Amino acid sequence: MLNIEHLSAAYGKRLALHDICMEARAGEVVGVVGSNGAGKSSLLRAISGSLAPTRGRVLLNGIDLSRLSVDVRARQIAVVPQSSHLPGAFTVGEVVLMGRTPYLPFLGSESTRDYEIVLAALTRTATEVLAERRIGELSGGEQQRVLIARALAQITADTGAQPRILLLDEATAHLDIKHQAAIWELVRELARSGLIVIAALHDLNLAAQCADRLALLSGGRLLVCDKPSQVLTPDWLWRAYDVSATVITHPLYGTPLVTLTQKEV
Amino acid sequence: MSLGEIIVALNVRRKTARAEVPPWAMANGARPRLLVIAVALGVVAIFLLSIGVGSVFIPPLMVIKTLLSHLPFVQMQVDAPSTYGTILFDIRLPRVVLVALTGAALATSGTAYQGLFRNPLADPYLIGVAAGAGLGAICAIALRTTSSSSISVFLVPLASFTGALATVALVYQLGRVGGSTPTTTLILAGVAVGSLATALSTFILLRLGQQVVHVMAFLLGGYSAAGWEAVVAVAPFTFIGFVLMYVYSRPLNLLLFDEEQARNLGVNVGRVKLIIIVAATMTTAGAVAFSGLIGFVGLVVPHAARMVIGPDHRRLLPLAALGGAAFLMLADLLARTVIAPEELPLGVVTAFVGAPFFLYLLRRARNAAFF
Repeated sequence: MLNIEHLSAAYGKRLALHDICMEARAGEVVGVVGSNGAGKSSLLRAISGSLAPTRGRVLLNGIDLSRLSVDVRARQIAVVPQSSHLPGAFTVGEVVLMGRTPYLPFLGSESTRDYEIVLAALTRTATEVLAERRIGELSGGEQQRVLIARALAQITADTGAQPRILLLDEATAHLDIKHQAAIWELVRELARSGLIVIAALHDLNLAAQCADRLALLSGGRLLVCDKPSQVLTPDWLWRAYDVSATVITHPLYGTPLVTLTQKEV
Repeated sequence: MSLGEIIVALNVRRKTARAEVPPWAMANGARPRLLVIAVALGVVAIFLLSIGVGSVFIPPLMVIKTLLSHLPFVQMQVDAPSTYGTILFDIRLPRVVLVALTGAALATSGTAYQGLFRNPLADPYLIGVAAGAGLGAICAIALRTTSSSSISVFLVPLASFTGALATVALVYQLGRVGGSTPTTTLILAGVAVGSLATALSTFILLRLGQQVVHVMAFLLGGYSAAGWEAVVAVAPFTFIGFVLMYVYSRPLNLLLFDEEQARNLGVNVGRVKLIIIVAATMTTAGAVAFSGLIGFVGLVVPHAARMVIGPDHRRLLPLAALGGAAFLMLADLLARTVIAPEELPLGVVTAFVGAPFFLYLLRRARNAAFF
């Protein structure tokens, strides 16, 4: 259980998040949506500990995350970054193995168990065939899958079944629809197995299909956090994005489908 | 227990203690250990040749015999002139050891700076550390030559370290933007502070008047003059710095991503950066204290090593240390022999060899990733 209580955060004097209260349960995918600069990435950064809160706190299973040391926190939360700088000469296997860093003893080396976990993460993301390739030689979509594999290796526990958090910041933005679908299927499956997944998303229709609930941000404030059908309404979209939208129901899944209303010519 | 049994037992122990490394975890540089051993043997060969060559040539085999006969507890009769011992131990050995230490120090600190700042151009000279260390060393040497009271040789690397650390602190403060230290501002600050330190050094040298000759001689020819004292003064800095860098080589790998990713993967970024900077600065300071300006070692050797063994600092740092030692010993050999009995400044040789080699590396690496 993740509880975000009255969370505010700022970059210098510019307020990025203002008094956000929300929660996420194990097993669900919470999508974070909102316009550019609404605070989607800031919210993820505040949860992961990269952005220190000015007020409020983030609790995971009742523990204040800001009180944990860096490596203990890294065992609870894995982040798949938006677009990232990758040192291209490392192999895919080496990069995914870095996900095991928070578990390694100081001066110790990886154990057989770590290698098994990495191999499982590679297999689950269909990247095991790339394992010996250099990461710099891969396409953007392949790189993104490798980063998801690294996150997977990072939150695979040795023991214990406490829910952990997977944060995705536009994780599938560079992927074609086939790989996008594969990744989201995997993410939903991970959530079902007991993870808390929080994903910042641009694509509202993708968000409607992939997330169990959506948190709609605007100007650093949380407007609403509810089921996609309750959030993706013309009224909320007008308030958050300042656009007129037509929302229809998906013919197969019953999820909302958002299209922009065309201006009268 | 026979020797065979002991070896078998040791192997069993090692197999249980260490996990079998899968091929995908070390595909960069297929056989790293073999490579490091081969380079280490090369270093030994260059070392033996290096101390054999001079106004009196001593063949490598004779060098080995003479060295062995001076070891404690080794009783060996050597049919060599007794002067060989003196030449080797008092003149050539301290110089070659100091050169090897300096090469290893410049190469490893260059490797660490490049990784830390995620900049292939970062080396002790670019971020101003070497200039700061030089300023410290020049102050100490100037005091040593001008004041009547004698100041210990051991103060030179200490002053050099102080200068380097002060420079790093200043550069780091100037390079800060908000809560972080972007690489570009860091390097800009480094170039500016480095220029200032160089200007101050020049000013001090000029103010010395007649004494400048002695200081310059010490700076350029420090190797031949310094002897064992210099080795003893420099070795702790190089050694402690290297051990610290090696201990933190895994977090350094993670810093090759960006700082936020490293933090999310459990690296205490602030602490690791500080330790690596202090360690690399110590190593640089030790190297610069008695060598003056030796460029290109910290640039060429790390990149060559990276091409051979890949970006993992756990393997890269040891290889860079060996490569740096070999490179500078060879350069020193050239410096001593090309216009013998005169000597070329070491920095001139490294630039002559290093610049074309660096250009070659650049051409080869044009399409490949640096890290």
